[in-house]
Amino acid sequence: MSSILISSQSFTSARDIARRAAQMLDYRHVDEEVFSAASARFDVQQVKLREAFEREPSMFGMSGATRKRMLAYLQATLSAMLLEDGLVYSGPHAHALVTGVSHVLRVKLVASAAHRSAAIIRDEGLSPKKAIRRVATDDERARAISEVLFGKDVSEEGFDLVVDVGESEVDGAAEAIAGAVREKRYVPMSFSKKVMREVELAHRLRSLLVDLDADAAVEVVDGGVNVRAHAPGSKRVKTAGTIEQRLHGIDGIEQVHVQVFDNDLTSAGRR
Amino acid sequence: MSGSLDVLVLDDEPLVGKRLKVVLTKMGCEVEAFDDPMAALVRIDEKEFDIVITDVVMGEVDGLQVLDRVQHKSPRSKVIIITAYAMMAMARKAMEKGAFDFVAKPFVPSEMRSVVARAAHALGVELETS
Repeated sequence: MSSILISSQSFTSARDIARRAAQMLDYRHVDEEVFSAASARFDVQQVKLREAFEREPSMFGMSGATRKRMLAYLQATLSAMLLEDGLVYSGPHAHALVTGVSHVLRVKLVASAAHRSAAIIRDEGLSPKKAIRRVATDDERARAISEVLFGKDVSEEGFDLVVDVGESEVDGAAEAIAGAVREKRYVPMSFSKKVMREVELAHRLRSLLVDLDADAAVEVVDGGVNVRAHAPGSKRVKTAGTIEQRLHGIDGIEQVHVQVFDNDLTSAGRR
Repeated sequence: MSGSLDVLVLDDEPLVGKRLKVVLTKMGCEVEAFDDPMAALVRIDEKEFDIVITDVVMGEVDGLQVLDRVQHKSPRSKVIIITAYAMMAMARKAMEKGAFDFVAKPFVPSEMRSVVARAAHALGVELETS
């Protein structure tokens, strides 16, 4: 079975649509469960995980490094869940959390500002004027959070399917998703299962390193692990040693190649 | 049902065909290995194979063209794509066109035994994988 990641604009009935699609396909729907599992696995408060994905960045709020650490924990948890097929996950930036796996369908739910405003008026009792402002604020916040977490705005890219909820409502949107994932191109195959295992391992390893460098990048290909991290010039060697030590003896790793770049030089280059 | 299957292996790297032939013959398959895509296409036109295992990138003929030809000749045949240049878009395209499986190189013999056994099972034939 394939799996589905659903991102959405606010007030597009994402949870209802995801649940309905899961029901139609006999898949398992998760949303809050991913956050609670990540919280338990990495011993971080669930509210902190939520904050990283939902609270607008601000000068006195959660730092970018902490947000990226929360992102790494959520990615590690979700990718472990995706090792089992037949999962539907709906959540903030869901489609960008696990990428590159051909049997994982990435969906975005959208609706017109008018449709979303009507939902806000109905659900939260705001005036039409405030409802329209709320739509714009929600979109801007999602973009700002995306910039911090992923280094770019992912709200407009990386989807296999975009569903306009305004035109299709809950059942119609769920049917569109269920129909798409049944297409042959999303069927799991040996290659995609291998990629899924590699992606899970990469996220798991990154979660072990994010306290050293929130931007540490980990790639796994055929048992070979490539790590790219940054550290202050005087700590590069020590950091590389720490990374190798942390990855030592982990199942599925045949070789580790660590590169630690000089933070000072990188910063100077940016100035 | 147990029995033998006719398998065609096509890879422009002769060693791949040679090694797969050994592995699959041990499973009880009748294997014909080709490193020339044109010769393989001629053979596919002549004979209905149960399983075709083909590389993708082979010069003038690619594995997806082989897939098309096999499906035209024998829709029941199972086509397994193998490639060292595995990409998500290519994998999805192969599956969309009706490939039975898409396997990235390098692979170990047990992986291919397992894939071929599944293809055989889909054809109603049980093969030993050990």
